Amino acid sequence: MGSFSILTFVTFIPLGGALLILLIDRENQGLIRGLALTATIADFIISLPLYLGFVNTHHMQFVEKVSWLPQFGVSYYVGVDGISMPLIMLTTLTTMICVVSAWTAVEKRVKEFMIVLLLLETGMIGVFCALDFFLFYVFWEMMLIPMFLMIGVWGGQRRIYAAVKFFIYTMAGSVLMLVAILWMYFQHKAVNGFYTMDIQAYHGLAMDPSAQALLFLAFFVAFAIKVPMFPFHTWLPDAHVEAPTVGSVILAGILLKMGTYGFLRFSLPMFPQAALNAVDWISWLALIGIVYGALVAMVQEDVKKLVAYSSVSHLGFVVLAIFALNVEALTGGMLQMLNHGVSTGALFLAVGVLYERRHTRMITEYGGVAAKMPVFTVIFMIVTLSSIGLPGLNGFVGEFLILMGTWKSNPLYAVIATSGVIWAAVYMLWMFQRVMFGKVTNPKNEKLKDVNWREVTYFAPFIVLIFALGVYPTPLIKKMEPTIAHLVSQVKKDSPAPAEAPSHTSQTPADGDPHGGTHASPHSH
Amino acid sequence: MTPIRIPNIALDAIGPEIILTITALLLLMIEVFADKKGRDHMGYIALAGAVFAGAFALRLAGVSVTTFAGLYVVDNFSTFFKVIFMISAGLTALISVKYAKDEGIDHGEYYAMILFATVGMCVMASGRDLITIFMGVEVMSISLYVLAGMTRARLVSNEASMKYFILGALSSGFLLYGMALVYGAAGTTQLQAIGRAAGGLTGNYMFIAGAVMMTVGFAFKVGAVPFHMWAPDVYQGSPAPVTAFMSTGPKAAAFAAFLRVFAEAFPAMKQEWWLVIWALAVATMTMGNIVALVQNDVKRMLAYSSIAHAGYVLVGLAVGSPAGSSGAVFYLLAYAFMNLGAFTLLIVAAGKGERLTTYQDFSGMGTRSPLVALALTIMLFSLAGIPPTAGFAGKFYLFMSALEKGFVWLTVIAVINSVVSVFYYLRLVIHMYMREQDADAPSAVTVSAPLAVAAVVAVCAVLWLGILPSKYIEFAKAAFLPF
Repeated sequence: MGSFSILTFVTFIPLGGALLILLIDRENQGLIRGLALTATIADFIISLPLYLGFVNTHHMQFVEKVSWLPQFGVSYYVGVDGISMPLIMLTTLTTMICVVSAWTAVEKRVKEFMIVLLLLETGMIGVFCALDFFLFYVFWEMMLIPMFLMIGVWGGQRRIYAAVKFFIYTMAGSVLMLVAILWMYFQHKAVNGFYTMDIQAYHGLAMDPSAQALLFLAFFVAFAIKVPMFPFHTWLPDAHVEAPTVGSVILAGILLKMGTYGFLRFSLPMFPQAALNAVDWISWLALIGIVYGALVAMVQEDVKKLVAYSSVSHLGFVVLAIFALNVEALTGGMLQMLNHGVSTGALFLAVGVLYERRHTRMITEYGGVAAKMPVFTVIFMIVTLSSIGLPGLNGFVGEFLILMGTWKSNPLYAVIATSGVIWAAVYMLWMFQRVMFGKVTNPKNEKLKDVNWREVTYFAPFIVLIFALGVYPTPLIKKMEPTIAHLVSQVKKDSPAPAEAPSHTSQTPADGDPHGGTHASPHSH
Repeated sequence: MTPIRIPNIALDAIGPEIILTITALLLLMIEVFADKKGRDHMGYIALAGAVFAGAFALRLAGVSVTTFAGLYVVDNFSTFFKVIFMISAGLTALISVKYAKDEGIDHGEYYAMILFATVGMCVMASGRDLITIFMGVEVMSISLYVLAGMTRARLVSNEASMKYFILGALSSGFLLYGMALVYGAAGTTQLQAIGRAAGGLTGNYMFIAGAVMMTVGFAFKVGAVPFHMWAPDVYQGSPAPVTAFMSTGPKAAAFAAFLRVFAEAFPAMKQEWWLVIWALAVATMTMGNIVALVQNDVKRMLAYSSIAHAGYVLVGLAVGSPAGSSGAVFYLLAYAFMNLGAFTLLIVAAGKGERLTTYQDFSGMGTRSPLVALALTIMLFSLAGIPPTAGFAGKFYLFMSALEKGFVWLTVIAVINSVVSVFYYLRLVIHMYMREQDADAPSAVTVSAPLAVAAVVAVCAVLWLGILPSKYIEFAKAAFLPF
């Protein structure tokens, strides 16, 4: 543990901010907004060393461990590796942007809104850095409440329905995960003779295949709901459409990543055999998600719903990548998680800009916006192209790596998935054309004001990232790669299947495990 | 002529009971002699009595004494329960101060009855003899019958009292009949002696019938399905502080006696009765939760939720291990705080005469009384078992003990029930924060000081037990009964 407990600060600064805001008079909205912004900016700055000081190994870094419930082997144990670090950075960045974007968009109950947003940030960061099952579960559940409130209080017409649906879906998935966690806890005791909730202690825990399959399933459902994967996705469009802009940005940008993060952190290293056995049907679910999400997105009349379904499609790529189980695909999957966070977050912000002006999200209500809002058009264009995966922008790198890796495992999957890229171009560009180009047909659009400096400011970081990750993602990939390689080796180690040609183009796993990535059997034929 | 031998009596071991009794008698005297102004303080005197008794009980932690010729035992198990009882009684006295005044029931008898009921509860937790336990049950129950009908001008209160009395008497009858049969078979009423005799009584129908009837009797008292019929009406009709009290303290006391009787007298029949308890637990949780879903009155919803929570506690009994027993005990502690907290806020919101208790009446609470809404939200999330609250820590520990013994399906049913329960607790949160209030909605509620103190205590306790439960779980662990 370092002398400065950086992760604890990053996790709990938002909570501190929320408690301070609790004490401020609700009329003093300027101070409330200012304090929320200060807290999130401070949090972002403090989180920067996590990236800058990250050493390129697969080991947990910035680790802090304090005994919490000693009788259960529960401790306050946090740390980051190449999988969680980028996600934490994304979280601190996105939340900061959200505060700025909510500056005028949220007028109702500003105090409560900022408190909820900050609590949400603490919960999200906690989920990503927790290395103790109990701690993880506490954050995982705790995070539900603010998101529930955000949708339910500041949402649209059917907000209550959407909020409840979101809550019940997620809760139903996670309690079964809790049972699985507890079951493993006793299994660990039976095998190793002591109680612990240390997540890493469960990597490679011996258990019989049928139990492993059941546990895998319990975790899988919890995460698949969160991703959301087909057929657990039905809560997402409702939640997105009803949520306020900030809610959508956080939901798409970060909450959805918790499912895929869960696959990487729990499902793969803990149940490698079950994961290998499940590769086929999960891949097919992911493929269905990709194509189905894209097709449904195409026929949406509501921009936000369109972006919501595009998320189902994009996250399908990530899941496909994760279960392709090779370094390229997983690297692509990780990148795609971040890319999706950036580009879809920005897309929702863009939709929010339009909504704030016109209070509608129907595509047919717009048309010819480009003539009235030139600066916004440029921003929206970049974001749209990034979401499609135009070479040179961030989306391309992730999708390319995913498709390459998937091809190695199973060419058929790659072919089907590639169609999703085409569909994405169709629905996004078609939407863009209908909203932005053409003549102004609706007189209400005559008076549209272009984006102001505040709005440009909160788009700026995302735009920078879109280009930076598109042109030169190498530094980030370097930081993630050792962890991913290690993860792949953990899964493949137990695989009884004979090795095919090593699918490793990158470095060998940093743990020096000789089996490392050489047993890179796709195992999915 | 042989002199009558007076058994050794350890008076210091029954300090809490003595303190409570003296305080209750004092209250009765004040009622007679004090003027109007002096009577305003009776709630605080009752609170002081409970606090002193609780402190005394805490001092007995770690002590293990059997006294009154083996009729009465003071051990960690009973001590832990006594602490729960004192919390329940003390907070009830506190939240009654304004309520009793508003409803015109601020008599010495009201508080005295709470304390007498608490004495009965202590006897139930400490009794090691069927007769002693039965006495405790009766002292507690009769006080509660009176308390339920305390607001005698209200029809529902009378109905509650009457129903509680008739069904309570019936269940006492079951209990007593069961005890008689067990005595007939085993030849003793002393729990451990029954336990020793039980080995030779396998297949003895009288003994089994006795055990079954006692199970029915206890199931009545804890409000387990299908013996729960009295609970919703009684809980809804009784004055709100009394309902808060009944659903925490006396319920815990019934569990205490239940646990002790089965752990000490019937361990030999464990193979048979765990299945019975298993079925009771599943039926109780499921029924309680599902019926709570469709309630439109918050007080009645809390009544059904109370049934459901009894189901969770029964999980701990079905497990029948030391961890299960201490899990149940810890859960009852957590439940005491969160349910009393929820009722405190219900009393705040309902206003005089308990008029505003439907979900609709809570609409817009988040705007008009943000702090009350926040506190109630914390209580509801705790009842739903969402971290970081006492409800989560309690459920976690309880379900953990069930899985440890391989009760996978019971645990799965229990967690699915928790999800169902989320639905109706959330509904209240939704009303408070997400629904607009009616045009004729009341203005911001006023919170009297004692209610505010009780709410703050409950909120702090719920969060504290949720975030740092370690020490209290240790305490609960020490309070297990050997099965």
